[in-house]
Amino acid sequence: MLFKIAFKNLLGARLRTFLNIFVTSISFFMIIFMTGMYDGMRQHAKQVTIDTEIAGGAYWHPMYDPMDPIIFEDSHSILPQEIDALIKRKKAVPILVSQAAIYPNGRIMPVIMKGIDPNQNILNMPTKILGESMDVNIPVLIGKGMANIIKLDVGDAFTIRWLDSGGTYDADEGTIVKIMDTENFKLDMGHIWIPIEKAQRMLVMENEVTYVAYEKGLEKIHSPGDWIHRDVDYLIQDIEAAIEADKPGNQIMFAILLSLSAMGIFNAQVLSIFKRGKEIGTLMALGMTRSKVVRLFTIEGGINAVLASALTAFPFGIIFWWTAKHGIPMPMDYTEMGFMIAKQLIPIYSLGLIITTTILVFTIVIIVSYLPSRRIAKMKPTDALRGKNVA
Amino acid sequence: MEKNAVISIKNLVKKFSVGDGHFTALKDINLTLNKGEFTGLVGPSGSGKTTLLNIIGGLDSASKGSVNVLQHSMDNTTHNERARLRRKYMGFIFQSYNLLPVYTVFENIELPLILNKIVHSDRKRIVDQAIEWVGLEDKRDSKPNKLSGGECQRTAIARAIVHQPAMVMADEPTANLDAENSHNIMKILVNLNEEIETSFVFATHDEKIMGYLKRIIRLEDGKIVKDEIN
Repeated sequence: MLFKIAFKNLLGARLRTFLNIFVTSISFFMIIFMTGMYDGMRQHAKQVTIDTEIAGGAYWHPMYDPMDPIIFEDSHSILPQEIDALIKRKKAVPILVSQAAIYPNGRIMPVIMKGIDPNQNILNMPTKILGESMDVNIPVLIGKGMANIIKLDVGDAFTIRWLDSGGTYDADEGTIVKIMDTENFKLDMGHIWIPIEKAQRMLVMENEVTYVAYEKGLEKIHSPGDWIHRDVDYLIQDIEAAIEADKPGNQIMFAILLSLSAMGIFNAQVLSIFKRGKEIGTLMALGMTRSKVVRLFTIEGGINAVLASALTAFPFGIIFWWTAKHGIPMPMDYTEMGFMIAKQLIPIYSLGLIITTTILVFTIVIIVSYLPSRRIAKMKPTDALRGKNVA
Repeated sequence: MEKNAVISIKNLVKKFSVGDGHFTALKDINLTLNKGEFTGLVGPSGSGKTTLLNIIGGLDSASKGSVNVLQHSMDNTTHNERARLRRKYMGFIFQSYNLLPVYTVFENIELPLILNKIVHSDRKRIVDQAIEWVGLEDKRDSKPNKLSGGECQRTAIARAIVHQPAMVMADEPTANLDAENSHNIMKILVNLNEEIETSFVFATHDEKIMGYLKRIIRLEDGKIVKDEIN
């Protein structure tokens, strides 16, 4: 009976119902959209790192520590046979890492010089051009952020100085053959990429490698020698740690959005219910008990939430679908700031997010319907009938 | 309480808190109303007629004294018990109609039947009959904002009597109406009083309708000063 009356009330109060539902569905939309953007951003950072830097995992020289450049000069050797076989089968890409210094426009800048196989297709990097540039002494691939800092363009040359394995400093001229537009600032900032054979000759480290990245989905080999296997979980742990560290911030943002939504919904519901004091008095005079009045308005709130979900699913659902498919263009390039944010950000609206948001919004709507109606139902029927304001 | 009495009031006092003190709205009221009566509580503004009507209808409670309505003592009854009494045995007509604005005429009249859990098929028949009693056949699907004052009050009357209650309380039912509509409304109520044997209690100071009342109880300053058969 109460459900029927509640439904009738909502259908009858067309504009008021629509406004209440609209406010609630806007809240639904904002929470899901913002959190989806945030999740998409984090997922994107993880995916870009895997695609451009990690692939299926890596085998590291036992001395290699990417966080300690001092150790680079000791962290290289000829590959164990089984790892070398992977490279020959094009299932892995070798990388030789060393410190170097470059002199763009007369300035000195320390960099990490990485030699990579130009013909690799394991990492999503435009390395092919390094193999095609036979007319320059040292073909160099750099990122867009790096190019901005050193103020050089494709075709520009600069001096590279390095320390070879014999402890001798040497220098030569490198020429930029490509500026890559990568979202992974770790491949870009402070890095120069050259063909691995060139790097091996320059550093006098013939056939030596620092680490190997292997193809996605490849099984771990049985005899990597003393080389250390690093799986994807290990290699993305810094990103995972950053995401974990970001969680409280994310939760605060979620709470703020939820509070703003709750205030919007509360405002709409309270206004709607308190404006209906006379109606509540009439219902009491007709014999409706106080508890039924409270239940009626709570049910109205519940139906309101259901209709808001439907409204969110239909017009706003199209926005969700479109943004999840085509992404949202970002107003600027965040790579130089050290953020892995896509230029076309794809939000991720997970089922968990939708269910959590739905439960939370439902709970809020029901609470903000219950509280004011309980208060107004406590009024004397005679006061309610007069439309007396609730204190 | 007499066998035929629908309302029996003894030594009723009603006080309202005003600031730190009290205002006594009803003073030592003793009254018996019998089944089928068409009674008016008459008096100037502030004489206590609406307060007395509200106490009879269980919308308010007495400060002292005893009130028996339809063989039920209203003293120490819970809100739910009073709500049940109103739902089953009473109907209310208000000065400002108090129709639910989002409902049509039909739906407004149907509401007491829904609250009394009358099945859908019966509800339609009963509501149609009530609409016929008050002559609103052509307005059954209109909402209150499309009705005149007289039509609104006729809807309110139909809502008050649709479940054929034992008694109907009407608080200034003609105060917002012109003379013609007031007479029409009163004629409808007199007919209903005869047809469905419902007792009517009016709170009014409208001289136009005095001629319709069968019993007039005059109140002044919270006291009954005159009780006469018209």
